[in-house]
Amino acid sequence: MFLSYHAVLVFLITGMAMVCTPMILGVLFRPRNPYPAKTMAYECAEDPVGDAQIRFDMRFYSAALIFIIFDVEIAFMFPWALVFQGFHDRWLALAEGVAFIAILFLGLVYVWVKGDVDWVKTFRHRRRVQG
Amino acid sequence: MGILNNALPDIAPVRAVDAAVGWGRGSSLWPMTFGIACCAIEMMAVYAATFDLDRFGAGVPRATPRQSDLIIVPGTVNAKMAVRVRRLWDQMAEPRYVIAMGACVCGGGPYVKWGYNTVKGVHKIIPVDIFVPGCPPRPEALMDGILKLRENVTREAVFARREATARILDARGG
Repeated sequence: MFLSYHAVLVFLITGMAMVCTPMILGVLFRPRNPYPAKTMAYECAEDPVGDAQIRFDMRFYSAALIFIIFDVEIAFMFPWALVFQGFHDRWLALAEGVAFIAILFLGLVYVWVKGDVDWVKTFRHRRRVQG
Repeated sequence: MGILNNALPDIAPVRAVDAAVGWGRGSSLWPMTFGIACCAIEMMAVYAATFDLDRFGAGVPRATPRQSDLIIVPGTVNAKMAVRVRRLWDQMAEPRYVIAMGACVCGGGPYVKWGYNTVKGVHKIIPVDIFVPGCPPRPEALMDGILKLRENVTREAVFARREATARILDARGG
């Protein structure tokens, strides 16, 4: 019964071999000569300052997420606008496009209400507490 | 060095593999994006369309020493820069090759007598494979240097035990 899947097995073994073989060959062939000056971080030959794992402002994360709303929206609008002329039912196509924009606009309204569009959030928070 | 590097006997099949590896290395030298002084202008001309170093497989300057196996040192190396040049060479992956481009790098050039801050030849810091003289060298001269280096790389023993190459590799720090 399982013999009918022998092609999958062959594919699996071949796939694993194609990954493992170059790595083993690389270990055999490549020169390996690490020393401190070679393995230190590359900072254009200057002494490295600080660590690569630095803390990053979380507000950039929400800004990037909001950017996705506009970016993806525009990316989908272009093909939609291209095929719009040749579409047999243009009102349907227009309704679909408007519905798509409306859904994403709802997301924009949500982040606006939640205050993620504001860069400086502490002021808004303070105002809300006082009022 | 790796397990097999310069560890196999110097027989015909090993030499054939060496020739294949050397051909591959010599035909795809990746220089590092590195320019110090006026010679770098000529070096850029070599990379650009008129002279087109990419014909010889060496026209893709890499932005990091980790990916490059050739460093062209174009221009006057002063004492402050010498530390950096050495570190950049240290950070390159092996096998690594050096072309000294221009009179300053080959031995001090116009600063050889009164230049209080010039390193009289980059070979005092890093082992040089090819010297390209000139002030600055013509683009054709640099191309000639790269082709000479290519010949050297192609002939190098990769797996075969060969005394001369082993000595060269030791001098190169590999």
